[in-house]
Amino acid sequence: MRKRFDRQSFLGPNSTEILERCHVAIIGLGGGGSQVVQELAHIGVGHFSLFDADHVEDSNLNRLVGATNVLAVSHASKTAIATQLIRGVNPSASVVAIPKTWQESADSLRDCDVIFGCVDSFAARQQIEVSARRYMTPYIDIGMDVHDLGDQFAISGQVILSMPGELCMKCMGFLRDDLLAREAENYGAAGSRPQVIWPNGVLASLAVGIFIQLVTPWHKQRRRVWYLEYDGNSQTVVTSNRLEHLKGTICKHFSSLEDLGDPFWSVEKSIQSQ
Amino acid sequence: MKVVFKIMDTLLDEVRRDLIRPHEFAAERVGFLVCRPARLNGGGIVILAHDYSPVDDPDYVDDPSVGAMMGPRAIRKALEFALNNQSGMFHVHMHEHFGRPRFSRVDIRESARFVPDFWNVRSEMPHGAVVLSNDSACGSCWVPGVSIPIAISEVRVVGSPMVSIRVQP
Amino acid sequence: MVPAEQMEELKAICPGAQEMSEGGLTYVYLPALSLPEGSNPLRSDGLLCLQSRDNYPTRLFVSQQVIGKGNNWNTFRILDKTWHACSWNNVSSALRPAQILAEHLRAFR
Repeated sequence: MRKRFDRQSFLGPNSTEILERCHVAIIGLGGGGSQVVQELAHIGVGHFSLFDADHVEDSNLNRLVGATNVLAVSHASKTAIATQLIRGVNPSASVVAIPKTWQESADSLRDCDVIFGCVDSFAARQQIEVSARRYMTPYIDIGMDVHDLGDQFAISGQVILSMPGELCMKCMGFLRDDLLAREAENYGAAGSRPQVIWPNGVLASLAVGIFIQLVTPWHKQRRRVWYLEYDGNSQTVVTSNRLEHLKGTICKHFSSLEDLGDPFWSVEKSIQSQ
Repeated sequence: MKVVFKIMDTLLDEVRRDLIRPHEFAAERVGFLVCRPARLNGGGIVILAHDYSPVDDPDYVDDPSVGAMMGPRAIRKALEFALNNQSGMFHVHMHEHFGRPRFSRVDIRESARFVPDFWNVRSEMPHGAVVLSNDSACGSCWVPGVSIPIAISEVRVVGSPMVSIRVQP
Repeated sequence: MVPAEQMEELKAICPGAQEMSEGGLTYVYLPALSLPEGSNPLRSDGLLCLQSRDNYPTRLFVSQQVIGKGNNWNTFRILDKTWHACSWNNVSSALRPAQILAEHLRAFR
């Protein structure tokens, strides 16, 4: 085993090879996504597909891991920054950088083992989850918000594992039609919502921890559903009590055969696939 | 061409539990995995197993020369299902041992006979055959337009934990 | 499910029209849909959502953005394909699907 990963040998005898072969997609390379990228690179994930259409600006420097002043001045793409971050740790990692909206290149998601969503809209989350379910791929979602309560601010966040066959984000009450409608009314603009680095760090680390337990289980607790709620004021993370109320519930949102695979599959495509 | 087969761990467990049940006269049980395909970026296809349809007890033929023989009713039911549900059908059975399983000569001979018949009802879909062991799997896929079956290069079991079974050529 | 006679009306406009569903919503796939004269492109695959989503009672998605027409274009992933839609709201789901389509196509005139 390479010395580099000696300190994580407790993850299992084949953990290095397993992580090296893993193919992850990270959609959104901002404050949360850049931290996820960094941790996955360090832990030895070997294959990355990175999606973000944006370029870095000065206003990103308070939280975007890997971004420097020089890169902000040159408006480097976020995919380029993430690629540089990965290659700096692991020059032999395979990195497919897609500097477009993920919707334009979602075919690249089909071969991934896990998809991380670090996006800032409910609509994007919903669509990513639909795609993830279509390819039977676990989806890990992270996000944070700063709320103006009038007399003070509150930071909250979530980490959710949407495992195929298990509760989806709609089942969990995280994605709701009223939230999607309200967001659409505002044309889905995230605007200049407050964002800071340390909650992103907490959430990214929790997400990576969930991922590690899925691919190289190192302890006996096997969970198929995760919904963690972060309170940035009390600095606590708890499992959402919504899961307690959903025990025994079966997801009805993705139960149909129609929701699986390529709905436009045809003979011509199968020949093209050769 | 790369062919990846993905199945939920819960479905795989369900299949294994069914396949090890004793039958009145057949030495083995068989069934069908109901699948949908998608093409992979960069070539190849992924087969996504959605459901399992066991061959009913009365639909076996008593043939002591083989582990299990499906009767015409079993095949007709599977053909009807594929037609009505736009599915790829993958025949599945099990060899009860640990380690990588292999198709027997009988498996290969019989699969080559009945799997392409599914193209009579769903010509656009890939169909195939999978054999399980207690802890592994392998399979073959008949891809439309390709005359010989292609070995499934990887079986991915999705769940907690996730398991990748890579089949060396 | 779209009633058969209403699907026939759509097929008269777009012969390859096909009903599909995802996430509990009904869509009609409209391959090589003709767009209004003067549009660029003149043809595009379309996807007509006949139920409420994204705060729209119905919505038309197209595979290619129509240049110079429509406002606030957004990109979506539906039925495993990339789609674009502009802001063209308030086309009622109570209309017949062919009328819904005609109303949405007005955005590109």
